[in-house]
Amino acid sequence: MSSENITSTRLDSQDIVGQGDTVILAYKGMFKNQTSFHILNWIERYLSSNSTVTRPESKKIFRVAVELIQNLIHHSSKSVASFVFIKSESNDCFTLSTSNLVDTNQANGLVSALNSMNTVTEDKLRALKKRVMTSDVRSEHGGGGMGLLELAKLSNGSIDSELLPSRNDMLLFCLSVHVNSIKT
Amino acid sequence: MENIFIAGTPKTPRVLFDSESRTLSLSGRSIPENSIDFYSSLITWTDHLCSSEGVVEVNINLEYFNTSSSKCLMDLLKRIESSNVVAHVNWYYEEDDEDMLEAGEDYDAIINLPFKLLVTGG
Repeated sequence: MSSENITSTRLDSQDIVGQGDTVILAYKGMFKNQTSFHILNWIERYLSSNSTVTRPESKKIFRVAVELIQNLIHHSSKSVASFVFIKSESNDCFTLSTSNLVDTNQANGLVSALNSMNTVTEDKLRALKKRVMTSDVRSEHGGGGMGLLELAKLSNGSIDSELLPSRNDMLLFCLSVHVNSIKT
Repeated sequence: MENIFIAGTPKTPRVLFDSESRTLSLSGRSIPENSIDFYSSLITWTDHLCSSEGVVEVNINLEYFNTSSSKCLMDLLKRIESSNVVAHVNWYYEEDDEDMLEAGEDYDAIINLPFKLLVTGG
């Protein structure tokens, strides 16, 4: 995949694009290391060339993109998934959304984790992150269940998720992370 | 003990681990998909360095790091903390980068080593 064809890749993203929103980047396909490299590179170039995006905002968006895309690489490497980067003029924020297939067990774990994060304060979220950082629990690629916590923290809890029925007892897990405008 | 120098890439940090000055420096970005692959040799090297007493300086000046790397950084710092060396950590962050400042504060709260949180020019 070349970086040039990322924007031309069609994605069935109508459901998450509201009126007045602009899709900046959309990709649907397999997520591999090279995919990640091209998408992140594209986002970084977009952010650095956009004078209306402040540097703190730009860094936060990039961090969210890294976690979301690496989640897809780790948890959805064998099936098609999607990533959409949207600018919402009406809400003065950027939204980064992913969707990927999950089985029922994964879905239950995700919903439970997201529900618990949505009800805690920023301080408690930070304390929870510190607890996970110090635990010995690790995934094979080095993480340890910190991805969703980091996303919740970066977006101040502004995360939406949805599970939609799909095929073969699988569910489509849709996750949207909103990064509000940061003025300097 | 040989020094480690690894040039930075768009996903991995520039590494300079110097056994003579006993200085460990990481800069740039650390967002590899598999951070264990990247950090395991650095942690082994750190264990060797910390097996002899002395002063150790750690400089962490990262623009970005992913959650997977944050666990590896924690491992590295904990190895130093549990050794007999006298170590201190310089944690650099850009002035307006609250996320990186908070990350430094979190490590400082968890790791029992002297931390300096230092602003870079950006």
